[in-house]
Amino acid sequence: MEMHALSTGRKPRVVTAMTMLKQMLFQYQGHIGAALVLGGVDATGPQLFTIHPHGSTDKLPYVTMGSGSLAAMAVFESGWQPNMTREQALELVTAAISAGIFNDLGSGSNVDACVITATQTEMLRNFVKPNERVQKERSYGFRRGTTAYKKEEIRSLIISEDVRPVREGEEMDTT
Amino acid sequence: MPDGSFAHPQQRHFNPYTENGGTILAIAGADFSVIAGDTRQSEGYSIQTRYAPKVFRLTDRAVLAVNGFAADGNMFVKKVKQRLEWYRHAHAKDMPLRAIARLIQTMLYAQRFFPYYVYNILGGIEEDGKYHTSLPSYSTAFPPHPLSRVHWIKREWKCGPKVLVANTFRLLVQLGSGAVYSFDPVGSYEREACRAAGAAQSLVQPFLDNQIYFKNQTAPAGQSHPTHLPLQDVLSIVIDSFTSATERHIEVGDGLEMYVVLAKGRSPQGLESIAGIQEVTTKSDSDRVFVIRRELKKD
Repeated sequence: MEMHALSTGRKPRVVTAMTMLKQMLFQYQGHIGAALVLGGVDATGPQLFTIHPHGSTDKLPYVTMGSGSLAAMAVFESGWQPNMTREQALELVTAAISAGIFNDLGSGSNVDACVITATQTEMLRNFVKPNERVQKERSYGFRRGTTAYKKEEIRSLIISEDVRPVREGEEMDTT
Repeated sequence: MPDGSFAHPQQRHFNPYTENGGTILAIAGADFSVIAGDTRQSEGYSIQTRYAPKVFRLTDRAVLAVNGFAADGNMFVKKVKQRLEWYRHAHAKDMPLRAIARLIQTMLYAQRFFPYYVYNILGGIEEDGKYHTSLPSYSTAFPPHPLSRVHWIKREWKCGPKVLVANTFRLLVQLGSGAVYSFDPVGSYEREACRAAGAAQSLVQPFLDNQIYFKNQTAPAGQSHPTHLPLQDVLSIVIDSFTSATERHIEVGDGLEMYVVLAKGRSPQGLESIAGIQEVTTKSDSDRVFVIRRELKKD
């Protein structure tokens, strides 16, 4: 993308990224098992794409990918509306991912989100953490000497050496 | 392709089984047993229900945990309960645990060529008539035993024409002992001190081997590992087994049900302080069964 931007002398567009990604995935005939959601804002405005492992693409106002995509899309289909505010969109995206976390066994743990505007990209790592680990009932430290052993061998790794200065008063400065 | 004609050989396939995930385990103590299972039922990447019990009280001294194909499991438990009811009607008492174990073996083997696709773990109290002349050494908090009784022993010796008679006595305590039986789908079974089965068996059994049997742990010099752990320790190990399995296995989670079976006369001391504990014993003056329910992570 950087090379493309340099050679055209323009800010790259989201479709360009999408095209490069789909061409690479198509070249590998699905052997790169990556399913992507691509979003961004460029000269033509904000947009979303999905890219399948074989290189096919979709351009839609709301997209989902992965094993939890049906759970998430169900939330989008019932809650999405045009021209949502940043807060509304974040809330909907969180609800959609949460639906995947709780209803799809292949999804879990926390919600990451990313907000892209014309001027900046904001990564919201662990935006919601609805699945914190609970405290264990017991601690499982082992007493010193728990592991059995067949033999014990102690070797000295210290090499003894005699140092003889060649000339008095000409030692190396080691301060 | 199957086109309905007889021009080509055709093969059709029907798989009557599914795997519904989840995990069960049971641990036997000296005079108690703990039988536990999670409550998630799943198929593939979907959750069918977050609450489908896999552990069932059979009698006041026997609890059965069933894991594998849920439909077979429910049907099997239903049939075992039916056989136990018939036994009650015929003999006016509950079937002993070892007899239930043998019954389960014959019921499973009866389906040898179309098996119930389930792994069973039976836990409870065995009436194996073990007499303890002293209280079990593992617990210092053990109260004086209500079932203790004086056992007179009459000894006679022939000494020439005379017969010498001596009466001695011992203070005896009879306690049922904790027992766990585990089965494969066609009825092979074994009595053990602990067993895990199901989706997270490969995660939980090595943990139990280490913590219950002290496998790969050498005892401090001059000491030995205890043969039985106290109830509180066993419950903690069971809870930790399931919280850990929940973190590392997608088919384990949602809820945890732990059944505790106490031998008759064993004090329920320490149990009443457990939040949400519920007694499900049906008769007085018998072994006692309790249920403890906990939440597990739902992702």
